[in-house]
Amino acid sequence: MSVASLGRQAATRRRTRGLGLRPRERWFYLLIAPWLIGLVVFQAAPIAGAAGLAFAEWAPPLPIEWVGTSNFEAMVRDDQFWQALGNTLVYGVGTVIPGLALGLGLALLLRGRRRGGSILRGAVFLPAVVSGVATALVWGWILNPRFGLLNAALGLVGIDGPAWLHDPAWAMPALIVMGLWNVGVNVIVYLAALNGVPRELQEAAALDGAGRAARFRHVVWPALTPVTFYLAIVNAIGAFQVFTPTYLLTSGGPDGSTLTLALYTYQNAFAYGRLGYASALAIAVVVALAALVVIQFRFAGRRVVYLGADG
Amino acid sequence: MSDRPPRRRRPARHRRIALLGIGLLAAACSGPTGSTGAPEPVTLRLQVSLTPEELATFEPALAAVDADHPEWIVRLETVPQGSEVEKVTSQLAAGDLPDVLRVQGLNAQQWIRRGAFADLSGRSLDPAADFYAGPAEQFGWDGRIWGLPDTASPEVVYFNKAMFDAAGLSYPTADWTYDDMREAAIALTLDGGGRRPTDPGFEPATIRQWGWNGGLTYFWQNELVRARGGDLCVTADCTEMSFTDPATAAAIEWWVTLVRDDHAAPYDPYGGSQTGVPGDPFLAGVAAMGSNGWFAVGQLNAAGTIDYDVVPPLIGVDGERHTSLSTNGYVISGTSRHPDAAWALVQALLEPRFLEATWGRPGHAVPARISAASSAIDGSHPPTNQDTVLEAMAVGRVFRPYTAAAFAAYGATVDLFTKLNTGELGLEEGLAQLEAAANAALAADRGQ
Amino acid sequence: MNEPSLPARALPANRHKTGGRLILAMVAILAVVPFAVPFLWLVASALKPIGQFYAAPPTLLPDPPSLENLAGAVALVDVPRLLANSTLIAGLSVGATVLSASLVGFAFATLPARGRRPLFGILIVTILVPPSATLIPQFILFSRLGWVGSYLPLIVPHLCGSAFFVFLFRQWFLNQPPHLFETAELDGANPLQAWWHIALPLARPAVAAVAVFAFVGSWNDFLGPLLYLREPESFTISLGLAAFQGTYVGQLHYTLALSLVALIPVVAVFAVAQRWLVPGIATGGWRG
Repeated sequence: MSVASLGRQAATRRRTRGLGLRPRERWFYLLIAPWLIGLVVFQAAPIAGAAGLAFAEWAPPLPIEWVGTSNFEAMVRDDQFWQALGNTLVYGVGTVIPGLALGLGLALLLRGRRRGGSILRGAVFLPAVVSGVATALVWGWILNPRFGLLNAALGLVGIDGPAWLHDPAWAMPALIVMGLWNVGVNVIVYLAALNGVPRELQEAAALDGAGRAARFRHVVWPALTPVTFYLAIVNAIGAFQVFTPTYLLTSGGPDGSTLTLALYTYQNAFAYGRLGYASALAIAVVVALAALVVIQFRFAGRRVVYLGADG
Repeated sequence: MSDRPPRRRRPARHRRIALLGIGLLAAACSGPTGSTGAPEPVTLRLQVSLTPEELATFEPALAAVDADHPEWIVRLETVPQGSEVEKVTSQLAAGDLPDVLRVQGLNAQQWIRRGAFADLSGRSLDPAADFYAGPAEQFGWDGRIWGLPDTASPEVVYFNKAMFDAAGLSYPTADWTYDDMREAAIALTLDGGGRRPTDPGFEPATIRQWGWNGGLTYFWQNELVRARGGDLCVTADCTEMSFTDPATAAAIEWWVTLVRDDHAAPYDPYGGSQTGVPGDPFLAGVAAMGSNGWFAVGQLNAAGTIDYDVVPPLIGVDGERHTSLSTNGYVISGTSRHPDAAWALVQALLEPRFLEATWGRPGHAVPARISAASSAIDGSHPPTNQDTVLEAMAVGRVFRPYTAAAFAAYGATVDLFTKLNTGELGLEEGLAQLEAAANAALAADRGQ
Repeated sequence: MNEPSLPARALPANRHKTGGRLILAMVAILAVVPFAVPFLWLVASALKPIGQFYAAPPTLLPDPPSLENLAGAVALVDVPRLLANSTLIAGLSVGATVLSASLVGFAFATLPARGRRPLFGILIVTILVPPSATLIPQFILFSRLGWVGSYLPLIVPHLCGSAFFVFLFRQWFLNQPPHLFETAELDGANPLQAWWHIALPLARPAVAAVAVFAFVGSWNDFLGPLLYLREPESFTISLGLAAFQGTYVGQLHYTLALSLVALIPVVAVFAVAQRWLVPGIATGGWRG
């Protein structure tokens, strides 16, 4: 018996009043009112403005010039755009899926109750909240080809480390490693989700004789699919917005190997004075992300299991 | 099971929440009222982007100026120095620019050319009389004056005394040419085994000390090219550049061979891949000489680990000194409602005594007014030859190009310079690519 | 805490249990090392005297460790005020976010209505729009409202349910056994009461997670305070950190030292949130 079916039953017994909305529907709209108001007041105009700017060229304080689709035409012809798109996709793939696996693994590993667990969890989470400048500086040192910690460690096992952020082939992998350093965010969400797996289901499984692994496969993992779905989408969005390390450490180099869409958009908006083109790039990002999200929704389909009301 | 909701509770709760929501929105939407523009005094918004140390001397000095002028109230707004472009761009987009801004030189021209600031040409403060030509140029365009510089930081030549002593070489003098520098730089470059580039078995990959802090590594170093008889700029505002002109190519080659063949300067001076730390190699203590802005004095003195001195910019092949300088200055917003009061404020902030007390004597920067510049000299701390800064101010020129597309051109060319310096790209091919990339990026600004 | 008795054959022998525990602990520590090491380097560098900070080649440890970077930073920038401002903004933002996002997420999860699907689609679309795209248009909007120069643009939007967190709460509530809410309804509670009395207490782990993220998001927010705050007395700690990144001279040794100070409130919030995030005596969660 789901909430939804109960609602339908109850609703048919009540008269529909005003606006043709059944009482439960009126409650829905009442409860989401804060979000709706925010959408209309704070988001609608800016989003429309950003979309509109994509069809213009603007260098404030000069007046806005409408240029139709020429920004998009220029984008298709722009090698740097395609390079940025490719780099961002590589970064996305390199951080999202390993990030989910790593996040879940660490959450399972570190959810013990003992005091030591707190410190370990803190150690994993802190990197995600350290300021971008400090992070960039620290990783710049660690990845230094000559004197950095990483190549020193590799040298101990006889490997001659590459130039990392100064080598076009290794700069993006280095960036991905830096991205994975922030996996603490996933860990937190998974910790919360693990704590929310209904007790009675796990107890029942244990009483039926299911071992740890079996309990995980049949009870815990399905209960984690909704947040996994959430994290997949949120991390993908985050990957498309990676900016600070590229801005502070590589400026998109060497040879544009770390030029991400977010950095390229920022450069166009603030360094090159092309606000219209920057908006067009942002639209491209939205389209790419929307495609990704639709794919994820389709993929989720049956695989995401909600224990509660029908989604 | 009752199919009626508990009537008594719901409406009251409803009402309370609704009232609260409306109240919040109303309070939020009323917002802070803008300046009511009372007849006197006039409120002026002044925006600056300073380091905390500069702000520590500027704020009290500004308060004193404000106190002296009861006809204004000055509201100081600050921006972190690295974020000036984001802030001003947004303010221009919303029409929210403060009355007076102190802007960084390299950012100024793009806004000047878009008409963001007021034309100051008709104002009575004559720049030619007391301002150094180099910094003043940064705020001029189309034959008019759009701002006035208050401070500048010229580049001079620093040298590390201990390294010279260890090599048994005599210190640079004010008469040194670039050839003198090259000779010394090669002698001062040491690899891991203490060998010099001219010694057999020299290993470039293990260099632990360079003679000079860096070659031609990005395209804003036109003064280095001019010193060797070339010129990257074809037009006056450098919206068209040439790398392949014979004299220019020869000048560039001189620098490239210093790095690529003589190994006397690193090919990656600021990224840190060779030195181990990001930032200038001289400041890191791994270069015996280098050209740096005057602001390096403060950093070297704070660290206190390097015994150094300075000499004026080296003498070029034409017998003249060439060096670059960075500058900051005041502009008045084109949309200010109080342009005359704003001008009075700018005049007060450009007074020689104000500049001396707020910028020169504390050692933040060199005043851009000739009458106030010597306040930057302070014999109580290193270096010894501080008079060189005045010589550098007299010959220094701002970085070119400084138009809007300059940043795009910089990004398009920086990798090419590195490849030239490592030898990955041959000279002829490299120069052709540089010229094409730079001019393509600058095309947007040509004819402006 | 009630651990049900398990059938005998499902219980491992005692010594395997301790050995397994030890291995697990070691694996956990090993897994955390790559996260801790860069952070420790950060701390070590912040404690280096300025001469060593910029010297090449870089040293591992400060010799001797010194607080001069911290002292210098604190002398130049009004750190207590910055921290207080940030705390005020972040605290209000967290409260507003948790309340509004959980309310809206609860509605999306449990209240069927025509238009719920398309509205949720709109919600997802707003998440997809990069913040950089709406940065300037939003600045123009707030400028027209007269809110620039105040904290309003940094707090009020959070009263309207941040889409990211609405989405998270929606996933959370969809995952709860429906009979909990049905019981409430049978008792005559309306959805608002169900949210306040049942859903919120039930969602403690999600609330803890959202509180942490909302706090960190507000605490580290740089572009918002940069654009909307004018006078230095109102600045946040994120702006204070940027103060030392000059265009001409960067004083990164101050930035690093200050970044460690900026971490302390975040650590405190995280420590408090942990009680609700992981199974414990308080929540009675299942450990296995």
